[in-house]
Amino acid sequence: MAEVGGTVEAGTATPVVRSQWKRALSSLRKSRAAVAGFIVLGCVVALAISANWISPHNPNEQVLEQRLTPPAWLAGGSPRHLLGTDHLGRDILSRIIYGSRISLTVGILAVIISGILGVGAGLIAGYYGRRLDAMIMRLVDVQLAFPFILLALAIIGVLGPGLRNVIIVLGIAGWMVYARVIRGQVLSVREQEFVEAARAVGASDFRIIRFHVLPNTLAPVIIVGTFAVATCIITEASLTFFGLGVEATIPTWGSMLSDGRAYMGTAWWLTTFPGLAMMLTVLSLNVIGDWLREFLDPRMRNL
Amino acid sequence: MLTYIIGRLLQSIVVILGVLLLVFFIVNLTGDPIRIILPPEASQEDVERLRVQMGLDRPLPEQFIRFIAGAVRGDFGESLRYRGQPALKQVIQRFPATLTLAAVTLAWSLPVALILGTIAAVWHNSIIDNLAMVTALLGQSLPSFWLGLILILIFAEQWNILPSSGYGGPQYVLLPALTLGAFFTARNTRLVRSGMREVLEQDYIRTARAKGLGERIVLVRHALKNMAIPVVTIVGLDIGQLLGGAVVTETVFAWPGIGRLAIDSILNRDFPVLEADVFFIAVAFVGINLVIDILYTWLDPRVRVK
Repeated sequence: MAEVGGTVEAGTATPVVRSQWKRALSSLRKSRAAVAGFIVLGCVVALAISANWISPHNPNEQVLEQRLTPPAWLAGGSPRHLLGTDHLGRDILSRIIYGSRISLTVGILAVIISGILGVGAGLIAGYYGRRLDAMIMRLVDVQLAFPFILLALAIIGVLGPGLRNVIIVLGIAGWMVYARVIRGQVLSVREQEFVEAARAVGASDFRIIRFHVLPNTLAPVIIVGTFAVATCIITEASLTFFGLGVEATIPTWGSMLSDGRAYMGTAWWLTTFPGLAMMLTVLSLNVIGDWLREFLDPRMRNL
Repeated sequence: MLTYIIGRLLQSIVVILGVLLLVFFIVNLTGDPIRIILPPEASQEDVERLRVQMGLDRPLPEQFIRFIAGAVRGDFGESLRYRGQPALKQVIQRFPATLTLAAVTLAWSLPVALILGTIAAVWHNSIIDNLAMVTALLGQSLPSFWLGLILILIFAEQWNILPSSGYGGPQYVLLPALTLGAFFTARNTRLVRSGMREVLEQDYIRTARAKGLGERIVLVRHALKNMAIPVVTIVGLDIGQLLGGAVVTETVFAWPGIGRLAIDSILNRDFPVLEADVFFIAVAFVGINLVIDILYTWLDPRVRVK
């Protein structure tokens, strides 16, 4: 009997997973915007990973004789520098390709940090309730009373700038949204019969949270996280733009924009292309986030 | 009703105390403020003198109580950059500029979002709807400092019809308000659209149509009225973010508001001003949320019962 039960379980598990992917694929087929978003984001990720091999030049190589070369299709442009060069003769395209690494790294790592902090706090608040809940939720209120960038700025002001600090600060500044969403989910899941059943058979708190509560709260975390990567990319670039972000020696989209600012009237390509790269990346993340929300949890339309 | 308001007020005070604690924590516990304020070559004597002068030789709990006692009276100490000037005064001097920018931004972006969102909801899935949604998505994805740069490039550098930065006559506010409003218009258009679509699916709208009312009357008298609550939410969100979140736009356009003051005080290591600034923004945000919540109870009796 026991053996039969085992095979049935194993037999049903796979089709469920496969049908989830099937459902996602068929939903994707209906949303051309989401497909475009995935393609663009996929390209950015591919560029970031293979920057060493496909970048036409060293992003920090300065060729002063060739500074402020316009893009290749304009008069005075050269096919050696497709998108032109900056005020120090560095290749814009190569810098954009390397810059994507920083943007993606900062966005993803910061979101992982705030996701872990927020999910942890939300689980504790929602599952244990009472005093811990009240305390954590007041903390959420306090931190939500600051604009995201202001809090990030204030902490950076004290910690000092730099890539590592930017990631930490963005991670710490963004946990509240996850905590709120997760807590709400936990409160509703906690009352479900399967949690009660697990408790009745003597499952520990940890086991209930890990195997029964957490999987049911995953969808909103993925949705919130996708949008948060976009926000973090923009915030990192803003901080770097103000000289409070990533070190000036590392090529980033934000530093390219702040470098190019002085040459806006004479050499528009310095600011236009890195900005476009950032906009496309953020746009693709937003489109994917929209699709995920529709697909995973239509009730979150107003989030 | 009154108990609700009092409860909400107490809650706000708790949040503001929490904000003070967080500000104190950020500035005082993550390192020695003296080391941050003074240049590294400062003599040990100077360090000690400033430490006593700022009361930093006292135990931390005492420092915190002093800090709170000062903050309640609006006293955050003197600006380190402009000696003799109270920190909070600097913030208050900068506030009118932020308020002007916020008002102009709301004045154009809210009506645009309302009209665009309603049109998109009524003609759901039409070309207009799709166009509005694509524009909104673009507006939400534009980094505001880049949009600011592009606008400066076009209107100030190329066409030379508007000043690129500064503060003065009405022509100065146009580009910053356009930059700042792009994101809000985009987000609000989407919020109005989804809110409106929800309202249009309600039973009372079907009833209004069923009894033969014209589509315009259904829309104006029945649907728009019920949009009041979502719109109040949106405006509250906007004002809260506009008052503090204009950090980026204010800096790009050299607009002398409290957002730019935050950046300036960080760059100049003027921590009393930073504390006062952050505190001011947080209090404004909490205060607006309080007003919005009280407005809710007035607009929506269901909230009162809860």
